[in-house]
Amino acid sequence: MNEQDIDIVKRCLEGDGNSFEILVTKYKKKIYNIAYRFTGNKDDAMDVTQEVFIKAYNSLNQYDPKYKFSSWILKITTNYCLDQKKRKKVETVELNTELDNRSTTTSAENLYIHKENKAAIAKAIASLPDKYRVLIVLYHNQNLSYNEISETLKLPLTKVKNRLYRGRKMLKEELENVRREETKWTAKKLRY
Amino acid sequence: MDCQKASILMMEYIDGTINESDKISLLGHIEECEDCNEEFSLLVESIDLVENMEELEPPEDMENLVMSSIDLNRYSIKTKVWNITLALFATITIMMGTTAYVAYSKLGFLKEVFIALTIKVVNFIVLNLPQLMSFIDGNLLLVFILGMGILSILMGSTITIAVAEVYIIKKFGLKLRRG
Ligand SMILES: [Zn+2]
Repeated sequence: MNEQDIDIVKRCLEGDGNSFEILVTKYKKKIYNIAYRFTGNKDDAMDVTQEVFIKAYNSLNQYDPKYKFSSWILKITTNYCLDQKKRKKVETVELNTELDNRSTTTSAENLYIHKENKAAIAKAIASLPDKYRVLIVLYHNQNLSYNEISETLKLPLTKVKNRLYRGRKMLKEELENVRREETKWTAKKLRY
Repeated sequence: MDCQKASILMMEYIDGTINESDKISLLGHIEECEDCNEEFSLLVESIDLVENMEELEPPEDMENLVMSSIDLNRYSIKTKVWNITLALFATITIMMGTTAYVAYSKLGFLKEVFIALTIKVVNFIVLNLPQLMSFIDGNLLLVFILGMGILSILMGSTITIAVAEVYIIKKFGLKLRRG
């Protein structure tokens, strides 16, 4: 049942293009979520996901089985996201509008704090520079290991580690900033 | 422990790679040092928030969208055969061009240079056929452009050499080597 990625790639390269659908099903969620963290909206995330799969399919014959297929396709994803951003020059990513209210907490206050936190962390991530954001998302949100990230981004392990450490600190600071601004804003609103 | 060291240990703590004794001394430092305490709790909170960030469900029809925009026959045998045919066509063109040139050329030494070059090119194509094939796989247009490019370079150089020959013969009154 659980076919290896490499076998599916081989079948595609032998002319069975329909097999590619298995890989789409397997990786669409990962790619879509990474794309969402980069583009900040669902429509763009969907376009990116589609483009990434098309690119991957068209260069399937260049995939080196020495590496994991997941690393390879995530590399295409991150490269595409970074290129896309450079081209479009999208600066601020507005995420709060799309956060949905799904929550398991019943208390209204808890719900509020939960929602606030979700919005704050999304904002904090969005304001990180790309090279740190990509590490935070891959390591802490997509659960890739240091080795996998090193393979995906073609970065030496030490650099991955250093950047991730830096990224965490920046994220922490961004979260503080976002919260500080929100308090200011709330205070202002309360005065009127 | 100084705050610098504590900062590194915090990262190991988050990675889950910290050893017991380091963990004890880190937590000890955090109890005493207010700055590190604040840093640590915020850091852990941020990471916790990222790790528990909601995963979005991609649209249902993603598979259909992708599958309808890729060429399912891109890697089929038919496509490969077509590619090989085109590559052979390019090679044969080169050889025919050379033969034609050799038949009409008058100067012996240029002829030899030209033949040598052609042999090199054809040799390269034949030896590297697998790599070349995977490089141009599925890209018919590229094969076509390559073939045409080689053809035009060949024709261009044939004409240039022919003109040069006439010039050299006239200028230096070289005797023609018939045969
Ligand atoms: Zn300290």
